[in-house]
Amino acid sequence: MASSKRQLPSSTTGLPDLVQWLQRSYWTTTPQSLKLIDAYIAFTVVVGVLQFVYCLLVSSFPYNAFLAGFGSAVASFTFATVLRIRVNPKNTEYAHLSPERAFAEFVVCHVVLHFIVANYLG
Amino acid sequence: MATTTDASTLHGPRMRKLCLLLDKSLTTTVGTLTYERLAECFPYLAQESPQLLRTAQGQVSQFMRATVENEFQTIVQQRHLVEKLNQLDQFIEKARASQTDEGIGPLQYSCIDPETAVRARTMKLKQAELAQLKEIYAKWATRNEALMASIKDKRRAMHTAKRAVVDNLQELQQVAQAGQAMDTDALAKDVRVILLFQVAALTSGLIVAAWAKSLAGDRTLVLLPDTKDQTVSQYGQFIDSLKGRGFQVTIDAATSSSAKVYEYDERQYDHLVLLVPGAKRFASGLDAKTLVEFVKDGGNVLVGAGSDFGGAQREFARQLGVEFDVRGNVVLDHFHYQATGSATDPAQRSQLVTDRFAAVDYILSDEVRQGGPVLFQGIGHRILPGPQETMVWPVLTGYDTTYSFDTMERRVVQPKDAVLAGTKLNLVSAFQSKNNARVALVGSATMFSNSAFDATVNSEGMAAGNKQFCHELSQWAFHEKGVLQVQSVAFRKLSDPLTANNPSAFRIRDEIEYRIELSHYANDQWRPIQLSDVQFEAIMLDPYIRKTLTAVDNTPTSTVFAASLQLPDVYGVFTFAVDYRRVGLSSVHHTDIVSILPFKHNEYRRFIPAAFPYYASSASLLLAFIAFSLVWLYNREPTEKKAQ
Repeated sequence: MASSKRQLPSSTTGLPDLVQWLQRSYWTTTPQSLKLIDAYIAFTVVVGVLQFVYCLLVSSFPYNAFLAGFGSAVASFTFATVLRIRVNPKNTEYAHLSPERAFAEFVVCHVVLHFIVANYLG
Repeated sequence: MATTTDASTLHGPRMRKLCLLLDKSLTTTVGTLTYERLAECFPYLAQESPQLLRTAQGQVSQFMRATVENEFQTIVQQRHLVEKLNQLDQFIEKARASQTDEGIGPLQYSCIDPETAVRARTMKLKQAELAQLKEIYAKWATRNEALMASIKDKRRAMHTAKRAVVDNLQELQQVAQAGQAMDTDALAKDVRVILLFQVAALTSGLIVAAWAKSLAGDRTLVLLPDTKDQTVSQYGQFIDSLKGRGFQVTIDAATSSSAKVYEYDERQYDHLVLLVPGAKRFASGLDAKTLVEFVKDGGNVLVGAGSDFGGAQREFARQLGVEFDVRGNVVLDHFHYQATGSATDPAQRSQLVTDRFAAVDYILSDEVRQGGPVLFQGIGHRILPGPQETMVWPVLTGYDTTYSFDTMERRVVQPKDAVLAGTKLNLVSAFQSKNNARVALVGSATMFSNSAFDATVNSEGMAAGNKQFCHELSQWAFHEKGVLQVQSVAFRKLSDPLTANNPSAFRIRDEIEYRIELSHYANDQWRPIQLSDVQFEAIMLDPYIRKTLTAVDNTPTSTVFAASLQLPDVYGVFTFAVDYRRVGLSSVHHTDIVSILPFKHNEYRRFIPAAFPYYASSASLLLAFIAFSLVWLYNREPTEKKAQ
């Protein structure tokens, strides 16, 4: 708890310092499960952005495949974000719902999503 | 005056009748005043002194009668009734006398009933009735016209049916011949052959009668200036040549009305030979309109003109897009002529010796074109610019030195008609209409005469080519040569040899093969023909594909032209057409309607390389999800370990 209550340096020397502080704070205070989720979210963002760039540069044809790929990225991002909100112990709003349930819902959503994606793809 | 007094004293029959009438009516009137009635009126007096009453009654009666008679007499005298009535009597008597004198019967009074009289006075009613009648008439007229049209159609259908029957008969004959050639050992075969032989014997007579070498029929009408033996024998060789080729030749004079080209709207002849340049009109009612109708109906015409060419035939030529020179003009050429009289007179140099045949392979054979020159004496013509320009082909044209000469004014035709000079001056032209009916326009009827056939060309010392030229020209005109026909058309998908031929639909970008089998009729038989410019077109408003077909196969009677091609990447209803029109050949226009369909949804490729990034990212997201789930499930917080 002490680490989470760490104060900002009293004399902010500039933006690089601020970023450095933020980084250190993240690595030391964030639980590992949330870090895992963040990594997953980062991956979905990268995949989504790459697809969008490809669509702009090359073509959205066939459109159904684009929709499936890009939609899959967006939906995965959304589900992961929801999971992160719900399993974050600091987030008291969902304290009455267990993290296991959140994860189960996350999995069910993903299964449905990937069925839809597979149908759209070909 | 005496007569008037006489007349007044003498009572005529009408006056007597009047007096009698008065007397009678007076007696009746006075008679009504009886004693009984009087007694009723005066009962007391009747009881007291009936005698007195009776006397009174008599006196009153007498007084009344006397007074009325006096009054009447006064009226008669005042109005001169006696004279007038007598006069009337006289008039009537006179009238009766005059009637009997002149033998006129009693007057006939027309029996006009009041209704009619009233109607006659009411113009509006009459007009309305007239309009109504007109309407009824129009209705019936249109019905009549429709009926007439249907009759015409049926006749045409009958005609084609007749053709088909004749065709079938010919086929039968071929079958019969085949049967004859068959092995005759077996009894059954014997019987069949005998049967076929009988059929053949029955039909062959018919065929010989109905089948000439011409494809268009054999009824030919030759019109000459007159039917004197001398005139007919003048064209004897030409007519004999026609007869020898199987034509049924009818010879008639232009002045005769016996041979009608159309009877009951039915074409009576298949071919018409007009060797009457001078005839302005024909007695049988054959005019330019009928001639055009004849050609539209599929009839062929051979027109021989001359310097006195005119009237209906000139108008007919004009309808075909050919304008003949002015009546009286002749074609001259001082460098290519055969002297007929004194050679110094320009008009005597009209017997042209020419070999300027146009390159019309299918009309004139090489034999004619490389043979001797022909003699020509007559009128020139030119092809008018216009829509028919492509349907008329020059066959024989003038030399550069050929020109038109006005025999009336005895001068060269002025430059405004400069077209009628040199190579632009046509001597013989050939016309082929869209229905392949043919017309040969020859500027000189004498080309067909015996004298021209037998003539020798003095300058060359050889026989004139007229005989062969006229023979081939008439052969062409009467569908004995240069007839092109489609025997069969086949198109199919190349990749799928099992599909039926000529499907009604293809898919876009299909590879197909198109084959068309063409036959050429010449020298009495169907033969193969070598053509290098037959083109196939796939048309949907515009031609999307136009490809030249190559001859790939020859049968004894036809040539097969084919091409492989890829259909366009456009779907819609296409027309596969071969439209082949060449000089001297009958036009071929064959079309098939074919649909070109797009890919169905399941005919596209499912995965394409362009979409590979999308497939890859979808798969990676799935794998990432599985990996994340596993890692997340087995994740232990390092902080907890620290705490322990």
